[in-house]
Amino acid sequence: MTDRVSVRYQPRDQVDFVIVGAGAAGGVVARELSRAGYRVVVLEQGPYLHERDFHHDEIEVSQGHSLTNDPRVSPTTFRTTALETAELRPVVSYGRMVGGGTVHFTANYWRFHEIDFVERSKKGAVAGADRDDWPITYAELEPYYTKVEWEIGVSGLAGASPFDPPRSKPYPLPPLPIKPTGVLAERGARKLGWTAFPAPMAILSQPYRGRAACVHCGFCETFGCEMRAKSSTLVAMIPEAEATGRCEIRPLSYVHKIEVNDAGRVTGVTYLDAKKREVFQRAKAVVLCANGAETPRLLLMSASKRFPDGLANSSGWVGTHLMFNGGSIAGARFDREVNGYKGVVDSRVVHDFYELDSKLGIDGGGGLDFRFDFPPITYAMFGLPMDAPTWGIEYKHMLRDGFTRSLYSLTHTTSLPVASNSISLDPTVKDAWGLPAIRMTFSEHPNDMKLYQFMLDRAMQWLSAAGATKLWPYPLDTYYPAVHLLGTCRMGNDPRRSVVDRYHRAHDVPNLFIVDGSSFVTSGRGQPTMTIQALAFRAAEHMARMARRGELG
Amino acid sequence: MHDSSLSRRRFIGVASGVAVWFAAAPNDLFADTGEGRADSAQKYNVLTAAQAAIFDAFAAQVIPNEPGSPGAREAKVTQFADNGLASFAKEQRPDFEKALSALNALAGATGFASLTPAKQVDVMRDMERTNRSAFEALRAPVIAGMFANPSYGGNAGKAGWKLIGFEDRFFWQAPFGYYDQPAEVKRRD
Repeated sequence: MTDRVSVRYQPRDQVDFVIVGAGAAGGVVARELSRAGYRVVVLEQGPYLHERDFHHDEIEVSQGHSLTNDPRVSPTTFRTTALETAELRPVVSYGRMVGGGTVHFTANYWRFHEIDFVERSKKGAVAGADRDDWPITYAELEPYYTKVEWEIGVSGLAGASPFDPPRSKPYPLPPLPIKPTGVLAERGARKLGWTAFPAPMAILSQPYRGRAACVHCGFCETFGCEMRAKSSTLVAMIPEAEATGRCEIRPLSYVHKIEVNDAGRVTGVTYLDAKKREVFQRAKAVVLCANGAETPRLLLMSASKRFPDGLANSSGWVGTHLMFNGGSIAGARFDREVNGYKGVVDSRVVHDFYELDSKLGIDGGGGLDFRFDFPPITYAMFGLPMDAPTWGIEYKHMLRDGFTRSLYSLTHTTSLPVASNSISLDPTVKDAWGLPAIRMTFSEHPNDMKLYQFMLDRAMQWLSAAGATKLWPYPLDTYYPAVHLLGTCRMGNDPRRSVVDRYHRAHDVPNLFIVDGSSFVTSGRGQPTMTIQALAFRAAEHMARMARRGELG
Repeated sequence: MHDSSLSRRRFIGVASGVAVWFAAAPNDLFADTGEGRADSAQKYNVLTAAQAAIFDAFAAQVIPNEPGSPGAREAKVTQFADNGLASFAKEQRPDFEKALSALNALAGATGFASLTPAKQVDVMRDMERTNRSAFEALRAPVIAGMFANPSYGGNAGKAGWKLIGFEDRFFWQAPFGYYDQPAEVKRRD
């Protein structure tokens, strides 16, 4: 691809929209608003990389944080409850580049199911959690899920899962070819009476809209795709936004304050450029798409005389009700070559436990997959059974025999929204730009630990039915750094219990919008990017409508 | 933090783990890894000859050599570690050097590199038990050097990749392995 010379605005130009964050949501909103005729500047913390910058190099990507936030310049702190002093620990990881997490993600694209939007009214309240219904239903979001699949490029097989919610259109692309992990997944599921269906992936099984099909290199998770087959916003949305001639992507621009005027309206944002110089970009409206950790942080850093507890925070709910997606892991060895390192990460998925029977006494549910996502160094570090030696001749032999014959079952579950689980500003630790570090407070709701165990038992059962010759569970735990960052600026109809309304407009600020993982009311069962983007398409439509009506000034 | 808490990281899409050894600011990544340096095996960027000998002996026990199957020493992980300490892992140099000294001190007057292999293993077991973090500071670069892209100076002749059966072709077609051959896909039992 050639480099585009896109429009350049001056900071003093009052553009229509400034978007903070060029990731899963920001890329979509940028494309939709610029195509609708609006002048857009997208400010992105990270660099603007392209497929030529992506290598199959574990040192560079995984250890060097070349695509993600780097804990040494962007430290985070962690505590389990507000009674503790948080300590330095890398607990948050997100894509820090144009395209955001969609560049290095695994690309699982599950739609949420109907239950995810109405679990409170269907299943009731849960003690110790603020589970609310969403202000929108699955039916309202369905057209936008379809839009994501067709605009972004998603491969899958409609109707393959009996648990799938209704859809208005099939997938635009057939599923990727089945892998050994998928054959074994189907074999095990058949024995148990479950359904293992082709994993919906935002990876092209065939050429689509000028992009090449996947060549099955196997380096999806944590790596960028050099084929442009992974449907990141970097390749699927951003070029189309720039092609309008109305959208400027401004990388290495670290927004740290949203500015407001005396009328309580947003006037633009202040950021640090690559040389750490302060720049104020004027805009008629601001859209935060900075992820479930950076979005609340930015609102809290934007406290002012008028908004002393942080911008858009009259509810006090900014940063609260942080959710990830929990889960559990089991490992297994098989007799013959699985070669999981070839091809996309996920081949088949099980949704039989998406909605658990209330008789079990466990709220929520989850999905499961079989996968192998260990490049060589990481396999040697973490891929062997928990009781295996970590050096010596036996270690060497286990590595030799295990790499091509192992696979893992991962479960992906609900996390309940707990008020005290949160993102806040660390009172003492600063990042390399002198800004307050992200402080995470998190303890698992007891229900979620029960759910992890339940799902781990299912994973073990499934692997065993698939014919594993050795099986091992990994300890139940929440694993950090967290990558699904959800719920910290939830949407809702009640301004006392939410931060944005059903159109993603801040309850407190009429020309401020927030759409990303922070908008989630509940966590779903995993794989949130699909829903983030469906929300983004829908939100952008409403933003454009409000702008047309002159509501944004 | 114990190993078990690290295992999930890769699964969920992130690694930053024990392997802090390799952590580096992105801009520093390729700052100073000369291509040809790995070939000049006797010349090191930061390690002294004595340090290199200790680490080399340690590496040879982490992934031992066997007939027809090179170990970490043969894969030149010492060259890898030296390259890393000079560039993308330079922050780890103090911890690395401290760990090397600790290992050598445990070996007594003769020094670790001069011990018999059996004695080296004893000393390493002792260190693993009594000074786990130092042990890991040395083990991690051995593993990384064995399996990293050879351009970093280790994994010589792709020894690590050949050991585990990883082929760096990065372009595949089904069937990918045994279980997705047509007969296996059709199997119903």
